[in-house]
Amino acid sequence: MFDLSTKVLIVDDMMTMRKLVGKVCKEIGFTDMVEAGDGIQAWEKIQNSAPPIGLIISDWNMPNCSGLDLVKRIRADSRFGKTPFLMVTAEAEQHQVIEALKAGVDNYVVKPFNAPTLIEKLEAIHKKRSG
Amino acid sequence: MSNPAPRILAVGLPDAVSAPLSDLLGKGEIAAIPLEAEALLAEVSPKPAIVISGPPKPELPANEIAQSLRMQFPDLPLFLCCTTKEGFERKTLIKNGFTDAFLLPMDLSSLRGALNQALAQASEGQIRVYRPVKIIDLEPGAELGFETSIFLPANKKYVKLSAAGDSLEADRIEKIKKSKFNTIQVPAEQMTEFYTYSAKRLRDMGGGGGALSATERREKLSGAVRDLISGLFSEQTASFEEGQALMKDCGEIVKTYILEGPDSEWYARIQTVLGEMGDGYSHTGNTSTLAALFAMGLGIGKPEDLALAGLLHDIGVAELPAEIQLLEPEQMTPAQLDQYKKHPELSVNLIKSRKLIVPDPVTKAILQHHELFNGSGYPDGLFGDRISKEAQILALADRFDYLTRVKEGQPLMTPAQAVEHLRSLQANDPSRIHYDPELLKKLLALFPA
Repeated sequence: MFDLSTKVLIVDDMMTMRKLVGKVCKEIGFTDMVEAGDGIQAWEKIQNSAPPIGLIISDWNMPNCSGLDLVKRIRADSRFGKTPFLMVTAEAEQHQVIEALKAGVDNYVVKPFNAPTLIEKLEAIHKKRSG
Repeated sequence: MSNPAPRILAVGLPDAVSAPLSDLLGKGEIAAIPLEAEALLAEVSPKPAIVISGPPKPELPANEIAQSLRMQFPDLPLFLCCTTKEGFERKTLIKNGFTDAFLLPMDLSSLRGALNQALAQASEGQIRVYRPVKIIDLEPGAELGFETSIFLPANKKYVKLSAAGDSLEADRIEKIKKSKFNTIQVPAEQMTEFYTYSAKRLRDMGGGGGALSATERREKLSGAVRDLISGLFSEQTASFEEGQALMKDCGEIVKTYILEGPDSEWYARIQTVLGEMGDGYSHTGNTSTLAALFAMGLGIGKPEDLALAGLLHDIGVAELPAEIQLLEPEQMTPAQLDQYKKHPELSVNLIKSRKLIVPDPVTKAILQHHELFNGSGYPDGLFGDRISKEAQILALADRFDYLTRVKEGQPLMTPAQAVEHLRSLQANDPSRIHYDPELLKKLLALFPA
């Protein structure tokens, strides 16, 4: 089971979506959540956060710095390279999913999603990482 | 015991949008919330059955409304009503979570249809809504898992033919086929049973997986026309590539739904067009189908040209101010009518600006489809043979669809009656010679009396 005391970073350019994803995280039992409106803000939070960010749930299509840019930047950095990364997308187009997995996301979830779906995805990430 | 009225969550719905829907919205119980982030995030209790959103705002774009409403209501019908073309990318809006998105006033009739259907579903049939089913899709004597009725437009009454689980016998079906009613009505919430029945029937008849009933062909044509037209107004469509892609869509529609009918008999194909109420984009689909069939029957022009002209003839109407689009020509002021009369040219301009490359006879047919044989039409007041043959056929198809359409308070007209009506109107009055008398005579000869 994944650790519910993990600090979660929710990245989405849409404020209402950040709140709604946060609500689902709260429903699951997470208590420490922070938000970022795009990849640039997210990268700043990742570098400066204490305790460190333990899970990133990020939208894919964002202006400025997309989910793809963000995951590439994280994976290239030795300090944060291993942070679990869950991609959130409105349209699960095959080419996009392949591109995302190649870039290093751990799993993806399609909007809309609810607490059971998110739990399932997080457990899959946990299992893959500990297995 | 009756169920409570379905709860409709109206999100920032302006009066201009809700007014033409008031009769439908009145069937449900309305809960209105403003289109603001806070309101979108708040718990809604009791849970609604249908969600309908007004136009997006700069601080709350349509895709954000779509995604957040979809997160809140994963399995509800979710409709968006836009009033400006800017940013109206229907495919993207649907991908982001809306069940459907409507550009008003152009899509008003489609929106009413979708809302009606959702109300029928949500009320579990307590709110009665019917959908047209072509009689040729029903096998005599077969058990039908759905109720059938006939709509009598003159009395505005539905008369039940058979209950769910009953069958319609051969003599009864024949009688309906021979009468003006080649379309029966099935309750909207029972259409799934019709689709199941018709898929099995087509399989038993040896049709492949792609075989379609006449009913589904008409529905799919109407949907494809709507997709095509919303594609035309999407901002992405100004490049040659997009123009070519749209032309390919047009070609597919013409080939699949108009030219390649499963029934090779000409009159049977005319019949599948009749008996509709002119909702959604059925007029465009009908005009296109009729124009192509008239071309085939009369041996004038290329059917594929006429079909294409039918699809595109009225697209310019959407460029007119909203208040004009909502009126019938006879309700317009002289100034509004002058503007309305520009729509054939607007259609042609739109075709050019979207980089659609269409054959010359198609452009002419669209530009001249309101010209009349005695020179009293518009935009150029052309008369007689100065009007292209294709335009004359398109004009006839346009008028014919209007005459044979189901109109409340008026008796139905058969095809022969419709053409006879046009003929007698102009027989003794030169000011009413709107169609080539020879053409009418030839067309009349094609229909059984």
